[in-house]
Amino acid sequence: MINAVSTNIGENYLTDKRGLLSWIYTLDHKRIGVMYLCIILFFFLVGGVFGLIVRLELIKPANWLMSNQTYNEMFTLHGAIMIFLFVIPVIPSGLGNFFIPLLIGARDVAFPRLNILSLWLFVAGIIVVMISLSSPIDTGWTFYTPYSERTSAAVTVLVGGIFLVGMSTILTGLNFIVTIHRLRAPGMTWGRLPLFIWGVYATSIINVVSTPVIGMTFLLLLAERVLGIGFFDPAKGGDPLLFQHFFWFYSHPVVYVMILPAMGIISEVIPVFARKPIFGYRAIAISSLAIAFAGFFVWGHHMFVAGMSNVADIFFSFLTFSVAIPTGVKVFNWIATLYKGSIHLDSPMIYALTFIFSFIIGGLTGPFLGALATDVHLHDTYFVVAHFHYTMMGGTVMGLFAGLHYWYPKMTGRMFSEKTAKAAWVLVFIGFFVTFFNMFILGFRGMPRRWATYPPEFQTQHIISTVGAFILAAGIAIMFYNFIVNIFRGEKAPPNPWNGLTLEWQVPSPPPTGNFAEIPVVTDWPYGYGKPRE
Amino acid sequence: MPETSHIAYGAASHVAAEVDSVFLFILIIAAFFFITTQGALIYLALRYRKKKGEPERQTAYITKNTVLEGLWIGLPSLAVFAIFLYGYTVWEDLRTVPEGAEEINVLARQWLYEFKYADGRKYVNEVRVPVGQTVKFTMTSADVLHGFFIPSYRVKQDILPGRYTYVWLKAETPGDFYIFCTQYCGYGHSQMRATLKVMPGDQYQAWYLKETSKPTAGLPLAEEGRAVVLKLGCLACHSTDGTVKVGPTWEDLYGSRVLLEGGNTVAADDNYIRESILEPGAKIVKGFSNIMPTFKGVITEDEITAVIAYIRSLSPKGMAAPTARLAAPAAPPSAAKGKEAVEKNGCLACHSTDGSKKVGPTWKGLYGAKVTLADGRVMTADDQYIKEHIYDPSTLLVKGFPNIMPSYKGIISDDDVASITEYIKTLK
Repeated sequence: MINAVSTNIGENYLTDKRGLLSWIYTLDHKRIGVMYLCIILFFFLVGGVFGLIVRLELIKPANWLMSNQTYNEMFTLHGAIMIFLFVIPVIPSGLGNFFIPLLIGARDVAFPRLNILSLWLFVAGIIVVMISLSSPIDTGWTFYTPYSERTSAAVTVLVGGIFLVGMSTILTGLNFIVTIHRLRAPGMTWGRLPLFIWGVYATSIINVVSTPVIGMTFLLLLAERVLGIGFFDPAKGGDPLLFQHFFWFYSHPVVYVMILPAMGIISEVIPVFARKPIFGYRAIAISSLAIAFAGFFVWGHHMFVAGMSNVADIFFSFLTFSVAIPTGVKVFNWIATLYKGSIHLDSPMIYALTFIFSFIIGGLTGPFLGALATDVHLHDTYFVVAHFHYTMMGGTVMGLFAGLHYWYPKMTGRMFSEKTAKAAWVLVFIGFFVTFFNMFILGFRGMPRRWATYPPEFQTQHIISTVGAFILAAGIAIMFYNFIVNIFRGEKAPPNPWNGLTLEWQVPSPPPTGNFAEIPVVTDWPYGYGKPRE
Repeated sequence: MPETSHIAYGAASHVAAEVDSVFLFILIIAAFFFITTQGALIYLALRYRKKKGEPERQTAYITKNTVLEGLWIGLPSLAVFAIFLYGYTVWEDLRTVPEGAEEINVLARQWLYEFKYADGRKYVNEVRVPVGQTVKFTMTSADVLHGFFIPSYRVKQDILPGRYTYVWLKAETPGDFYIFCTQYCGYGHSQMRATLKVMPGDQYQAWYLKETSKPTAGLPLAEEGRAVVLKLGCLACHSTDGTVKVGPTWEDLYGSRVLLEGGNTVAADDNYIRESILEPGAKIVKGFSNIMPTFKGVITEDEITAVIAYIRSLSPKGMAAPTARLAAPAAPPSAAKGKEAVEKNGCLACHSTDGSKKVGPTWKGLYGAKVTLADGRVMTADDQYIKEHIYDPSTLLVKGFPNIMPSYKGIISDDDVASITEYIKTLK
């Protein structure tokens, strides 16, 4: 049993056991994390391809490559796959599974069997989602009723698949909460937890509390489609606004699920590469919990023009601004960490700085949408599309890239090419900005979302975005090439290539199956860079 | 032609300009935070970077600074509170309809807008108002969610089936303005667009006189509502002169506050009246019994709109009932009548008359031609074909087109079908 004191911890988790079945039935959190990562990054590329198809169609104002129907399916699949199969699970289920036990000095998560069950549920959910592609959904990822309840597309099958994926998330969240509470190494007090752990801890709480709501909402939608019970369709006595409340009660907290783990990665990378302690550890830790908490009370800001009462509009607008404060604390603290540091501009750090730069823009465009008067004009336009791509892609995805570069040596035992990584970054950065920045202006000018065709005066801006999208795709392709090729050809990685102080760097690269020969005893926090000797 | 591009649409009214002021206010605050944070980020990253070949320098062991932390919690809190307050204040203006606004009803359906004036005139995808007029659009949907967005006037609201929502604006700037659908509604979502035409006073007058001199079968809305009310027997229980009968009186009802059983009060607005007709048991007026039957399935959407207009005319705050116009005498089917029926029912949203392919097949050269259907049959487009298409379109789905044309059975009369056929015949 892995969790007991064990003399044989193996040598290399990748090769300690061989054969396909040893992966399918593994109980090792590292193998589970790697499998999640491979599957999820594959769907990142799939979702990206749908996005490129959308951008290609938008080169011309009238239909030219595809009909309205196909376009509607493409943008729906782009959104649904990116959100449910990529942005939500990638850091927690991927990097989180691999590194949470290592960072807290444990041999595995609290419930390894539950962990592999989570993965199987995830895969089952994906298979069901793939089956739904036989009649692709055309509802937008938000499934608003009554359209989603009446369309002939395979909504029932698709939401069934996402229901299974959601179960996987809930169980993983539960697993992480118990792991963090119960399996910390001796001496690792809450005040000495790495900030990535605080991030995934807050994330896991949100996951466990909010995901059941979307599960229930989907079941109600299923019941309406299959059994004809009128929850959401006025023609059957239902209320379309009720669906929106249920949907957004989950889908707003879930955006904090998307960003908090990425913020956790930034909090790890910056101190290592600035050789300085993180500024304001306590404030950053508490802000993760504050964001998670506040995030539950603001969902109505997606519905200011949906037909809610005036009172509801006012309350939700007021509460929405509360999330900005703890978010700002993190950004200011990361920047302050750089002061009088010794900053190594290696690829993990460059992505971390890119995260901060892009997330500031994404975050500062939030108030335009949280304020009632301006949201009326900007809602459902490209301004919103730009805002959430800046936070989710400029934020979460850049954070993911920082984490992948940072932890690649530990996971694979190899070093990637730093030159290639930097070249890829140039294309990613330029491509990202060219694609999305001009969408703020496009949205202010009135261009609506989810439009297959558009008035010709918007064409120039659409072409700019499409060109940017392909530059971005090229950068990502080079990055993935760098990662894949160096698994086989890369230089062997030392245990601690970045001179980090967190516990994963105390074990070999890649780690043995049992992680630690002896469970470490922790005597200090992990951010003592440049600590003066007493 | 709706206006063409500028970097942003100019604000077309005072309220729209107020919205732009809020935008500018937020932009300035955002710019301040952008410059300070990004400036610090870039400056510090470059100033303290470790250059190749240099030895590692000693870094400063700084773990926190409570004063700074307090500063960057306090200052942003003040900033966002100011933003909330300003945004809320202007939004109140956006949502408060001034007195004397002319009400225009909007019925949205996949994928067009029907605008109905109080005097009964109906137009598809185009609404005209004179410069200086304040209008309130009262909107509902015949099917799924839609949106109603006029970028230049900075107004937007979703349109829902089963309820009414509204936007208002003062048409201060002449011109043609886009109306966009901004709530995804299926296949034709991005082609669901209309035009708001704000016309200088004299031009509007000329158009108005021309429109109201045409013989038309439409009645002013309030008159229509009175006819519906007589037909359905509402006056058996409701009076229009203040007398208390089995049900509450409609005199002075619209716009008042109604006291309900249980002590709550509710505003007697469009949604209230609609709910009272369809779900009378939902809100019982204090002092009355729960015995009003529902009219669901008996009263149509258009009739509800008309009844509301009639009840409104019984309130001092509502409009005076416009004069009725005589219905035109029945005439034989004609292409001219057909063209009117086509415009009234919005066929041209999906069918062109000039050969161009839209959501549905073009009518140019259609009559008498051979049409290939999706199931392989080849048919001649004769009178029977056109009639069946209007009443039961899914049985005659044309190859290469989606099966989305709704049926007009019960909406277009047999006479109008004959006229429409005559009209299509003229499109060679």
